[in-house]
Amino acid sequence: MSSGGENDHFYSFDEGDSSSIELYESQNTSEFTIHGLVFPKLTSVTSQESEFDINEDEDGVDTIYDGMLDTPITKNSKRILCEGSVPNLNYECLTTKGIFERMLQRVDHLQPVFAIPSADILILLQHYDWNEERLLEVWTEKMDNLLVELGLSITANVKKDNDHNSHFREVEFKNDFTCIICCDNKNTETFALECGHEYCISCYRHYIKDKLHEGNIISCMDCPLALKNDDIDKVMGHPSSSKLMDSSIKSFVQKHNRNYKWCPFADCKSIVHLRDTSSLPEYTRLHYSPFVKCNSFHRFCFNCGFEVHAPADCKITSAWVKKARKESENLNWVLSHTKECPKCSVNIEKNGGCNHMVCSSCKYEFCWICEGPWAPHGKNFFQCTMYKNTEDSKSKNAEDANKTLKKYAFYYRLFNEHEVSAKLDWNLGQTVGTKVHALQERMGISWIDGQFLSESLKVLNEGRTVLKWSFAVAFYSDASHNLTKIFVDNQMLLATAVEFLSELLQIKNPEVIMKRRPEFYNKAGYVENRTIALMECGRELLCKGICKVVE
Amino acid sequence: MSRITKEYRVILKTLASDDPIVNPYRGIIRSLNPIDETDLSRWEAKIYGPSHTPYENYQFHILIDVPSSYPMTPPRINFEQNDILHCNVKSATGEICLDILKPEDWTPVWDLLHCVHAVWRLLREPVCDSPLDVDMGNIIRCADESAYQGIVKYFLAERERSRYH
Repeated sequence: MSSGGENDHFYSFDEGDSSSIELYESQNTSEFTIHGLVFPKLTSVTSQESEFDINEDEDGVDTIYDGMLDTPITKNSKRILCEGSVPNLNYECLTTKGIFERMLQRVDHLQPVFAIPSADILILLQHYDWNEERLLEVWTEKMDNLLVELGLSITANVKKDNDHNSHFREVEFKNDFTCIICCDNKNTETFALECGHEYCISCYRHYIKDKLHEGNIISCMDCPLALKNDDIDKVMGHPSSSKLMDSSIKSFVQKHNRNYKWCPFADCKSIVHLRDTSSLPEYTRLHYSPFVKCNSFHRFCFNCGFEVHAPADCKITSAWVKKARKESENLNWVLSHTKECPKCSVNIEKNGGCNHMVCSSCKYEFCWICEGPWAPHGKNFFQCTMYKNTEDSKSKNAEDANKTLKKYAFYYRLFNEHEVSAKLDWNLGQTVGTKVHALQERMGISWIDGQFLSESLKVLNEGRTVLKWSFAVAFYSDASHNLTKIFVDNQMLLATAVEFLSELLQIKNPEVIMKRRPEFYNKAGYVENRTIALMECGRELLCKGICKVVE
Repeated sequence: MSRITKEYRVILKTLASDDPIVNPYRGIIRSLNPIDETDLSRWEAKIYGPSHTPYENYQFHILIDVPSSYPMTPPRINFEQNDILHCNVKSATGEICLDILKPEDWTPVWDLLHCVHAVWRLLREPVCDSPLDVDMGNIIRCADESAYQGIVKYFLAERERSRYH
């Protein structure tokens, strides 16, 4: 299979949804534009962009990968590793429908081999969990027996002396029919397969409806003769067999959960398929995480199925999430969404992502996180990310626990603040589209030129996610180590940069936006650089064992 | 509900007959009837222990719950508590592990007589691959016939003793 062919394949699954293709491609273009214009030095550092590297020469990757395994890590090779040389992930994003369509194609391929109707092959495949090889193996072994076993062979089950001239596999109307399931005598539609087991349509519908979600072959109620998809649709009166196929594909995905993962985002129905999982241990070893992106642009970790959590690795992430769950019960961290203005005590709700607050009543400017005045934050030093270990080190046990709790509370608070901010930024994102429209209409800016707004928003989101998870890393890091201090410095730089960018995105007036366009480019570029720096620094903490989970 | 009413009529007719063609359940099902004539959702049955098994010469009491969704969903069937020792029965609760009574294997064509008959067959042919009572399952898997016979007979003798004393 050539890589080019694969690529075509990939797109062909999107054909049903042309708008998503458009989006997808436009995203591509805009990314290219921005990179070309503003960040020419940036190369994709982690696997996150690997979706666009589908044509990667696999052999090349393999040799690097093999080399890594048998040679001990020298200082030099380690440097190379730190520069992000984990093999790219070669994956594709599918939906149950997409997988099913692919199966249909396989059925067409198999048809000449089997020489039975396509609908029958579909049922065979369904029974063998869509595993072609296993099916072929059993097929060559058993052939006709297999057809009888799965209720596909008609001759074996037909009552030869069928006296009533019913049309099988058709819904028929009958007067005064007695259904042995509900024991009702009525004028009703009925259905029967070649076996002649005839039941009223409402009993049949009940029966099928109960079985649809199981994803298994549905057979006649009294014998193993199978109902084909056409029959199911006929009985139900509307295309219900797709639901059965959907359930069957779902169970297929569940059974192959090493290669297939559901997108964890709410209401997202995407499935990411990673063909070759051999590089995953390599990711874990180097404290990278195999992040993938579904067609709806949700990025998540293929390893743990959690949202993107760099710089934290899967272990830190799960420890942090577990702790958060536990502690929230213990401490009842109800972090309210409102705060009192430090000056006039009026209640303020944060309705935008920026941490730079201006009290609407007294105009006092303050930082949402530390509730201190904003002035020192803006220019030089963003002190909020620094956890000040105010107490002396001569602590007793109880005090110690209290201190860890305090430390945790501090980091959890920061983590949470950024999570809330990220959500608000997301809402902000909904308005960005309107802004771009406004730009187009009022300023006569071309669509492409307006994309810097969406790009900046994307950078902001990514930056904030990294910042958020960096607090989990910070919590588990040895605070006395120099590298941790560097990490914290990096956090501060990114936090400042993110706040700047977030503030820029709050601007509503199109004229002002266009005037400050270079600023958008600069800030977004800066945030992107800081994000990468923080991710690498965090990974180094993990690689050197300065950051680790201690129970 | 017309289905269960009709079944009741059929059951009465079948079990009353001495003709082995009309009543193939002679020597298998002693009785099958609703606990209360006015409520066809709760039934009880008495079955004979199959011959050539340690259950021979004993009777077993089965409780049946017929859900309102019957016959689309299977009836719930249990032994009486502490009524039997069997590898597919949880003795303390009487819960039975039988494939045809699971919603995914059930088909509406089966009726209560079929179900009770299937439980009786389970006594004759225990399925030790999916045991509810793991210890009993292991005894059968080791093919220790005398231990199996002995422990079941002891259990049943104890059962009778505690019932009449």
